[in-house]
Amino acid sequence: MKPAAWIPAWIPAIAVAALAWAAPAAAHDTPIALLTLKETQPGTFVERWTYSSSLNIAAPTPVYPEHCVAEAPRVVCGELGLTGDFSFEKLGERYSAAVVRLMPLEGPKRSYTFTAAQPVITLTASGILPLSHIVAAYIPLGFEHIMLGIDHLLFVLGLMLLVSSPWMLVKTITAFTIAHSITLGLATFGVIGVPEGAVNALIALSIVILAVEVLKLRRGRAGWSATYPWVVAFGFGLLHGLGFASALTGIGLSQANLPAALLFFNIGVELGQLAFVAVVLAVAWSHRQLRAELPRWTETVAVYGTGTLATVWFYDRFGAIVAPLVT
Amino acid sequence: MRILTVVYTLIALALLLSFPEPASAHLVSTRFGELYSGLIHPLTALQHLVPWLGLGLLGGLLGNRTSRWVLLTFPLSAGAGALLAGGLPATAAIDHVNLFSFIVLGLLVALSVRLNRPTFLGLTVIFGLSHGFANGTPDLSGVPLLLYAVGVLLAAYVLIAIATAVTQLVSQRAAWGTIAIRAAGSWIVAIGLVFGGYSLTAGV
Repeated sequence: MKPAAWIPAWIPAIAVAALAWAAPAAAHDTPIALLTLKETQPGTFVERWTYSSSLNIAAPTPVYPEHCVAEAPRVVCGELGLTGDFSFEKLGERYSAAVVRLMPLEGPKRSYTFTAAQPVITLTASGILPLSHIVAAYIPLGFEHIMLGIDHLLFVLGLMLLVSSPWMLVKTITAFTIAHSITLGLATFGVIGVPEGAVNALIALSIVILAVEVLKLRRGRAGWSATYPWVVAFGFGLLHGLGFASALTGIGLSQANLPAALLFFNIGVELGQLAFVAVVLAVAWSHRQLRAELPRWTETVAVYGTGTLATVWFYDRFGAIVAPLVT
Repeated sequence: MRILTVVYTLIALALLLSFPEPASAHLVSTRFGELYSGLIHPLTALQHLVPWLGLGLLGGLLGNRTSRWVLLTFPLSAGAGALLAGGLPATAAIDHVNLFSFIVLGLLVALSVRLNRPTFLGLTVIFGLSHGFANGTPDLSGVPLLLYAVGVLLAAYVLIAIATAVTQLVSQRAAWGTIAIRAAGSWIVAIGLVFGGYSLTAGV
């Protein structure tokens, strides 16, 4: 099998490696602020913030319905209760999303997810969310999660370099999609649970392994991974799905909203993934069309760079797991 | 091609070295990060998107030997312009140059003018700097500005690469290709006139 020369490695690798360098080891952190509002008396709530961002930056400012009076940590809404337009200021600048978990005196707990695309939600007494809200909140969240997840993108890039034809690319990306959808669903519904740190370390390792396979292929030693790249995509896709799930499991969604939220979050992830693949293919095609291609050694350097970066991530993430056990 | 190889390698090296670890926080702690802001901003603004497409159309009409250099000169100029905007005061002259770019690029495409390489590359640098400057923001300083500028650079690179290649393909393979591209050039002039008139009367 010939090396995958139809996608010059250096084109996307230069850009993605630059992005990757800019991202820390916890690259696919999607910062989410969680605000729990517990009703202590009828119409009176107490705020409690939880930041799920590893950076622990200040929470966004909530804007309560007009009839509510907020004197942190108490929020008094009176007889009308917590109904009406609820929003957050400057959401999207520091946090990807804010989740409000409402714990009323009576009735089930409810969760509302705010994003830059869905900054205002009209709360109702029944707590039922329209489908349009879930679509508007979770598709951007999924899209953003993979776009911030440089390690996921690097893995997809590695898959693209491993395949030798457009049809094989379709099969490989499809296998990756199916696999990560399976584990994303299982983890979100709580069927399986894997420590986030270990998952992140293994995701970094998956990029290292893929980089090695790409280098072997470019030296003319096509292994089984180049012959059956969709098997690799499926296997490691299961792992990446657990990584995607971290953005959803931390939110604490109510069971009623979970299936739709999962579906549209996954659609957002797929859209982001397809957008990335489309841009890489378009740029690669453009360079071929314009005959602006570079020597092969530059491609090799790009793959080595990507593998080295992923190795650093792996040690960093692995160290974060081991360090507490040693000290 | 050897020169291009060296320059591209230097760009990659510069990009890699210009992102120290502390800068990483900005990418994940903001919604799309400054890099994504820089990437998206020019692609969602009519006053940048249309002239950039015009530059791609012009480059595609000029043939490989000239057009492939635009992949280097325009993105670098746009990135440099965005960086300059962080340190220099905003000026209306930049907006006028950008408005002018609608007309110049549109006319050159519509008339299918065969520019020589230095003139074409000179235009790409001038308009790259002016559009990059207009995309920049003085609110960012230090590393976030650098990330933002790299985002502008990447946007310019992707858009110009695709627009130039598509134009070249269409003009070479379809009999109607060049006519359609020249017609698109006239549309760019028309859009520029409307946009310029509106902007000037609005006090740009």
